Amino acid sequence: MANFDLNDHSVVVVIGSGAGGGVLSNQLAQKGIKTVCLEAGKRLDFVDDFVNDEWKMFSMTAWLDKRTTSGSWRLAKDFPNLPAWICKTVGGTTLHWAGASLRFHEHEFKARSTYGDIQGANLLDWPITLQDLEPYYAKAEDNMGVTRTNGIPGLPGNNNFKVLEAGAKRVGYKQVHTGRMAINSEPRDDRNSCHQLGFCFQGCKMGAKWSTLYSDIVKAEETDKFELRPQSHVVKIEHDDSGKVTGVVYFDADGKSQRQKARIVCVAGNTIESPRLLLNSASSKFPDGLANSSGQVGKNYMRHMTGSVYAVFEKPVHMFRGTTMAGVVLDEAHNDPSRGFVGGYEMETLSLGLPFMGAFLDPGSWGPEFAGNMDAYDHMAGMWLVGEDMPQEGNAVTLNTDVKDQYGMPVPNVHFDDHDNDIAMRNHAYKQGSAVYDAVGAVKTIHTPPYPSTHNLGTNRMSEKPQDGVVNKWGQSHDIANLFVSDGSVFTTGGSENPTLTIVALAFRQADYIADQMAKNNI
Amino acid sequence: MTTTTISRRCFVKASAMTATAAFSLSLIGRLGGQAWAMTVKAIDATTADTLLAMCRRVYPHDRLEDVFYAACVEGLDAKAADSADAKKQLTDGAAMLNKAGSKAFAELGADEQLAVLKGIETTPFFQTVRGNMVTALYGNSEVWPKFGYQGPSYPYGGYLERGFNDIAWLPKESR
Repeated sequence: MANFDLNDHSVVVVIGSGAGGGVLSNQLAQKGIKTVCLEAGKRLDFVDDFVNDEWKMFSMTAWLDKRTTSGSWRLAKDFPNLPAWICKTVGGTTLHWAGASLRFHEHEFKARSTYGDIQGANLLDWPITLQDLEPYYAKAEDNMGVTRTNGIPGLPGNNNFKVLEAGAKRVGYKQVHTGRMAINSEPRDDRNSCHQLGFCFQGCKMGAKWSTLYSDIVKAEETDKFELRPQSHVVKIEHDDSGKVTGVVYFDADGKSQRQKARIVCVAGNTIESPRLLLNSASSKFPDGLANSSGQVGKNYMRHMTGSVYAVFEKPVHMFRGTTMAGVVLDEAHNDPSRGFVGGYEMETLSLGLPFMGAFLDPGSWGPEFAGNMDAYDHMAGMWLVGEDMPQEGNAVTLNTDVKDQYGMPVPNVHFDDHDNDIAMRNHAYKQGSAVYDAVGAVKTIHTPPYPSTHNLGTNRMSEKPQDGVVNKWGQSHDIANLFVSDGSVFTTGGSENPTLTIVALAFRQADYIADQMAKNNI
Repeated sequence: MTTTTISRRCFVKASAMTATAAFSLSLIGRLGGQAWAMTVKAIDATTADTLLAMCRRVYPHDRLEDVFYAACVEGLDAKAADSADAKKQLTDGAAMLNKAGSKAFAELGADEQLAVLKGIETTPFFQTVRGNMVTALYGNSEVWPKFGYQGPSYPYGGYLERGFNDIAWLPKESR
């Protein structure tokens, strides 16, 4: 652990400590590059501070700074100030994530070429291919300890998985297993093995699920090239007359304004805060915000097509026991437009505890039917549906200048409308999900609408041409050579898979590039 | 009240808050043969009784005794104690309910109570009560066992040795 001076302009500043920022920071530090990681949230200890309680952990870790919403998505009505369910804490959303770690399909890097010109969709091919990313997927899987890779056994199936598996096989699905999970099935990399606690979403109190909090951040601190500053909320990135960035302004734990100089700035605040920061950093030289000559900063917001199916059975299931998402059906993940939509989706096991089930099963609902569904809680099995959604230019993170946060900065507004393709895919997925459970005797299936978004993507997208996107194939701003974006906001399109593995792979790749460019004195 | 009764009440309501002031008002009920009390300090007895009946109708669970709904009313009362606006909203809302049916809301049958609530479900008053309840009721750890939810598992070593994969009724063969 190092301590760098605020005026040390030779450091790389990384904003955010989650899957992107935490991994990038560690990789830079391991290469001997001086790195300061500024994290808006507090640091928790996973053994001492984590609790198996949904609302308590939510209040301790969720990003609850004011946000507003607009558009026709149901969240704007049910949870108007909670468009996303992501974290403000050291480790970022790697505290909350479920651990599912699937690689993209080859065609998902070529969405525009594969799907064609879909009306209303702002599709674009990624500037990289699966082959470009494969070596980095391998590094990411090893770093995170993904099951069914590197000789790591799969996790054992819990009750919720057994119901999914039996139903899926009865309807003819073949690719059904307990997933590729960044959750230790046996002790590895100084982390414990999974003890089937449940509560994966509440932060893993065993430390079995990979999180930068107790993995990459700790490894970085073992070097003398890394400094983590928790409760450091960046509000502005500054630049000089030549247009190069020079540092950042942030508010520290005492609410005092600080200015950290930097050679390079990497933004990894997740898909809502990262574009917000670029937009809030507007200046006379860059009146539309930093890195925004394309006008694409904040645009093309994606959140995956999601939904859940809960099924009630005559006999108990106890779906909450054990690993939350260790179960997947991959048979619908391919692209087959004959289903009535482009792109694919996965079915993954999911359970909520009783408190969250009350809040999210059918938000706002009440009365005898709702209560009757809740009465069946321990007889329920559940799955999450997650698939590729269409980028649309109108789905966007913009500044809401009417509402200011605790630092006087405009809050982000998140606008979202489903694309027809998203709706067609969700309806197909609901139908197939119900069929899986009906095949093993479901008394009833319940289609639950999307939760506050956990997969937030696309608002600083990668593009080959500067006019089409915000960053190049390395996550480097097209406009400003020493400004990078290092999180899921760089996704050109969303793919169908849970995005964390790809975010981590891109961070590994970006670290190599930054080190190379620094060595060549290009940045 | 006996000491047993008081400790039971505090235990049951632990996660939903309780603040007993000298001038607090207790509404006495029975739970499992023992007395329990709903303690409110800001709202009046009629309002508290009306809200209690409303809470049961919003999330009606036969398996839950009144004491769990009373804990929700206590949570609302705490907001009323902190805010004159909240107190007015709850008091006016309860009065509205009591005028809406053929007699006082708490004395109506379940079907008529439901019809009255359907008629006001878009009001801020209803949304306040329902919104508070969804966390106060389902987030109350004393309610969890009634639904077969086992709560924190870490203190017991997780479910690895405690039935994470004990389901036995699934069909053995796929067709």
